[in-house]
Amino acid sequence: MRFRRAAGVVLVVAAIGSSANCGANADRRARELRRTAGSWAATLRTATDEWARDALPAHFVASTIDVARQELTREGDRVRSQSGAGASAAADEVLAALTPLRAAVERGDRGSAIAVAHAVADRIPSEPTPPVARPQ
Amino acid sequence: MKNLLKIGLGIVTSIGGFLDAGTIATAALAGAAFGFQLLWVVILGTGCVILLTEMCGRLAAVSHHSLSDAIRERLGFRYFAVPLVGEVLVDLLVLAAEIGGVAIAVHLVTGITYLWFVPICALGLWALLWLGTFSAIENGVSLAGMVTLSFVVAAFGMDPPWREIARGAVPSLPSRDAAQYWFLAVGIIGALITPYVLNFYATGAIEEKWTVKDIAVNRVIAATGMSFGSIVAMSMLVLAALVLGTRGIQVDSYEQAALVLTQPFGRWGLYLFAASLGVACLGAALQVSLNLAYVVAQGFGWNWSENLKPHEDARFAAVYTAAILASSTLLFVGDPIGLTTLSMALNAVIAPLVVFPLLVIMNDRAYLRDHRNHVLGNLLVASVVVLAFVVAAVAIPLEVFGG
Repeated sequence: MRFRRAAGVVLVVAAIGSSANCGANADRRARELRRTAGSWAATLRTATDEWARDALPAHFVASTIDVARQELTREGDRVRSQSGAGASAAADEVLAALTPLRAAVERGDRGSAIAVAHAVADRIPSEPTPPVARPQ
Repeated sequence: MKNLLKIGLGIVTSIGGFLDAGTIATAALAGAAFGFQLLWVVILGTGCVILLTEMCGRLAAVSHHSLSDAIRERLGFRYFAVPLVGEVLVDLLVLAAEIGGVAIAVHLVTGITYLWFVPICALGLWALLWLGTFSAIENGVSLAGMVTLSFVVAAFGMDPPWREIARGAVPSLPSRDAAQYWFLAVGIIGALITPYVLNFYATGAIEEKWTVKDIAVNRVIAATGMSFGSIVAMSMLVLAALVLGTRGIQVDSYEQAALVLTQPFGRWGLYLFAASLGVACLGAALQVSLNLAYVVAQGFGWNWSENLKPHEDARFAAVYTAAILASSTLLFVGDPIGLTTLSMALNAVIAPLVVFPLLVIMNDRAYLRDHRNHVLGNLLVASVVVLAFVVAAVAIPLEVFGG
């Protein structure tokens, strides 16, 4: 009887612990999504800049935009289901910029593409890592 | 001259085993996320794989047994069946990732969805195996693999902070994101200490008819070949730190990884990256599919050799044919980077099952005669076995929490 009571207490504690952990995991995923959104914004800025100086072909920039859309949509849906709509705001903002960006790339308008990519990268900054052996 | 050509085996093993979809992706991830902090893991993994490949080459030269053959004979089929099944399953995943890598390389250059190229790449791979000989494949991949030196040239050209790079060679603990740091560390080790690399190297030595006279050359080949791959992998990590990390770009796709060469090389950068990725993945695909066929054929005592015509070792040929078909199909249900990270974690889990028996066999007079391991060699291999078990234990949890 004592063992069963102890087992019950352990189960309740484990349930509370895992639900708290779920909450912590949801926060972690939301933070990771924010970082991922910043990463893709930086990627698109770099890709459009390289396209502008003719270091990348237009089809590469277009496929980078498509991959960004795929990744951010998938991750955004997952985070929204766990943490609500607000948690994916950064990803949603990058996603919103992808349509005008892709349109600019398709018509060969480098100036507009750069403007869109730079604007979204300024609004959703990335988290750079310095090129050192002991990043902080 | 003959010895120089033998270095081809070291380089092709390195290109397929060291430099493949897994290492390229992990090195880029590591550099972008942690700067130069994980360089020490690449150096540690290089040391381990040089040690293990030298032993496998010595085993083949003295006993004329491949690693799989020796394990089966020495420890019995019941033991051998476990790593056999594990290796077949993992190799299928790795093969899918490598075929996917080749298809993605073509996609990067053409802009056409990579899935269209999967059947073409699979067919091309199969044709090379069906029609080619071991030395033709070995020399072809070694030569083509020189394109991966573009990472080294680019890294030097970016004038990196050498003092920081030297500091990165010293082991350190993570200051943040510990789960991801150790996931990447385990991933790098798991991508390097792979059973298929060890068995391929030993079987290749038998295909090339090595004898006791080749033992000294074997040491040079193992060290040179694996160092080649290591330097390219470290260059990739450095480039990712300099180009991607400084911009806050994580590596979630090969499109992001490709940016490491456009800065130094302009338009040529994309083509060099695609060529390097394509050759490395093709080399790995050839190696993994051959290894699958070698392991199964050796396990069941069938005829095997890439130098025989397919009708002379029909079951050997049937194995790699079936493997290529099965792996290509996987790509239509899973993405290459996902398959890569999963296969690296599973590789880490089965590695101890192959490395531990190697320690036993390398001390067996019946196989190595007067060329058994010395005390230092045994200590080093024992350390690698311990490392392999630790990596195996943490690989799956880290895949879940840090991946």
